Amino acid sequence: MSRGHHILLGLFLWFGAAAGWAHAQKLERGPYLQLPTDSSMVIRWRTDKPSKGLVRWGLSPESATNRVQHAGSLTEHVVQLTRLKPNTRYFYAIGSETNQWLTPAAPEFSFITPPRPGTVQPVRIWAVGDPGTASTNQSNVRNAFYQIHRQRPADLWLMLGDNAYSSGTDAQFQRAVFDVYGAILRQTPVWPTLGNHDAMHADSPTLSGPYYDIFTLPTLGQSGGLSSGTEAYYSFDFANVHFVCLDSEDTDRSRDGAMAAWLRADLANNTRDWVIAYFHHPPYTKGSHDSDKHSDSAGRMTEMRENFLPILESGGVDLVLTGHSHSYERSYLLNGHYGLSTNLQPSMILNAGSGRLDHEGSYAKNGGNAPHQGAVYICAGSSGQISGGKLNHPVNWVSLNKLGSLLIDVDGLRADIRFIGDKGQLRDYFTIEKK
Amino acid sequence: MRSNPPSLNLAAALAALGLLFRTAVPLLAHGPDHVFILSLTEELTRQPGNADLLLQRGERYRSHGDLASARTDLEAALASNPSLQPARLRLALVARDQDRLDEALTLLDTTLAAESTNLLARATRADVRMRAGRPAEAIPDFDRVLADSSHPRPELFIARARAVLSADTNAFSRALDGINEGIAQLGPVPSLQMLALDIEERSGNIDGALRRLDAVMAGMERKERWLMRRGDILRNAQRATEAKEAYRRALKALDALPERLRRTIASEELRRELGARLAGNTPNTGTSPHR
Repeated sequence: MSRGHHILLGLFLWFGAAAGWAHAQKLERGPYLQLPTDSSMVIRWRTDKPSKGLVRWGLSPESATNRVQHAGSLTEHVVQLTRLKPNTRYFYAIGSETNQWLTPAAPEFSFITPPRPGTVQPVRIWAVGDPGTASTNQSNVRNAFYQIHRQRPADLWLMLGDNAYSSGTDAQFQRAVFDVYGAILRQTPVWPTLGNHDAMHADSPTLSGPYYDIFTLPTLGQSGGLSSGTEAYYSFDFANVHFVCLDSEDTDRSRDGAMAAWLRADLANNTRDWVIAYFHHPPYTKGSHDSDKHSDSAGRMTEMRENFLPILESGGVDLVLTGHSHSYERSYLLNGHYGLSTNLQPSMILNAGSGRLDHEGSYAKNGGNAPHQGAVYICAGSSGQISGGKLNHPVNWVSLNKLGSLLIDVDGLRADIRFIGDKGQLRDYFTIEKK
Repeated sequence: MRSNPPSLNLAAALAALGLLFRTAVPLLAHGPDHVFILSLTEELTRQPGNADLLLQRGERYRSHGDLASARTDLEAALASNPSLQPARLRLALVARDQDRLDEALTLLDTTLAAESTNLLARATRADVRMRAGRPAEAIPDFDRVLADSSHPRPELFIARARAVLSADTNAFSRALDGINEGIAQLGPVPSLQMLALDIEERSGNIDGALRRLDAVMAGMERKERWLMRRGDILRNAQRATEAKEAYRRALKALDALPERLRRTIASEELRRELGARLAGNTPNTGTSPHR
């Protein structure tokens, strides 16, 4: 090859590289997993430039050759993989129609599909409340969980609201959710609920704003449960656990409202062994909020307690997870307490023990989601900050002004719940067993 | 210029520190929202009367249920900038929550005159008109909100149907048309289906109610309570033979449940209720399929 040819080839390669660089996409967010079912998964991500988003996937990194692409040239990419097998690990890579891959198909970009609904197998759930401070506290709580997650990953995780301070803007979600939880978001589906801070830039009546734009949530019972017709509240199944997400912030909380009617029907139709409900405003707290004060949070805590707890307890709820107060408050096994803390009767505490197997023993319940067999209420709003308070609500077995997150292990008819501190400390634990 | 004596400066600083401590500590105890209010307050001391800051702080107060403080800020924001429609809308929400419905309606009328496509303002006006006992005026607002919403929610369809029936207690057909529109858009949402079932039954269209019920039941894993409801509808319509058949089917559905669901207190209670109905020992009443 002559010198001239060399120069021409060099110029060609340089222009080619420069053109490629000019068209190169930058991954700005994600990937993150949404709306899992036993046969499908939604993968979402954001790029700086529009393109037709493409996912290649398969049962191993080498065989990740199946392809699916969304229509239209977009920066916000939402791709649903379908015809997947239950309980199966899939590897995926995301990119664009120009075959520019933004991630490799590698173990860190893989997920396991949920089992068929009703399957009895160990389930691990992680829950964070009021995490979205984008602070060292939040990172420490996450890191403590990651130590455990590495040994046995969570199957799903719940965000209990106030996911992005201080007002739920897109930039705040980026800093407090995507920049903090990137590693788990790409492997483990997240199921959020709306907090008051998220709602400052989101509107449930019109399902608009960053919270609703970011998350793909079921409206038609796609992942189990009944159709709610809205992403504001929904239910889903994972193995033998039925999850119910309520919107305590920005949806009608009256007992004859649509959310209440849906919840009654949804719970009456449930056949799973466990019911876990979650929403943002705690029915019982004496932390940075006071559930006895009707004016606190514009009566939301009172309304959830008076209008929704009776429905949940009639539907056999086992665990109710909330945030809002930036502390950890965990109740005894309770039933039928819908009034102020001063109205608590001893008969409403079905088991006044710790629920710890190595102390007074676990909380025992009858199986079959029988109504009013008792539930444990946990306010776990300290995954990003702590804010103190009196911490003396009488329904609580323990109240801590400590950072941490919740780890729930369900195995058959037994559930072990742990509150893990920001340095990995085991700050509380208890067990519920069903006969 | 003569400065203050050092001791006075120190005293003033300590007093200010004390004031800050007394103010800030309880506020900090409530987390970032209250810290944000504190920072807005501080900013407002530098920019007194800044309408945007007053709106932000007023909205924070409102979301925390401090309606009096919210009102003060939002009124001040509007006084400073009368064309600030978000402040007017937020003040309308405060007025509504304070049960000052006439004031809320006036504010909402002004907002909608300026921003006719503001869905939140229109939905709020529909709500306030309902609260004010003016359902006929609420209906067009609901219609418009539903027509303009890209993601209409079940709540809106239900509220409109209730407005229709409040305005005219015999407008069953119109109410059902609205619910059907919701089911067509949102799918088989139980809250809509159940309201439609109730309206059919109230209107005396028993076969229509049964068709609705059967449609709901088809999508349910557990049918026993729906079958009991079927029996109750038939019994209330004096169709005793068909009612008993429905109760028997409910018992069969109960028997077909896995043992862990069949042997619960709720299932045992349901079995007793069905037995009593079959024996004709219970009065005719409307029942819900849900415990």
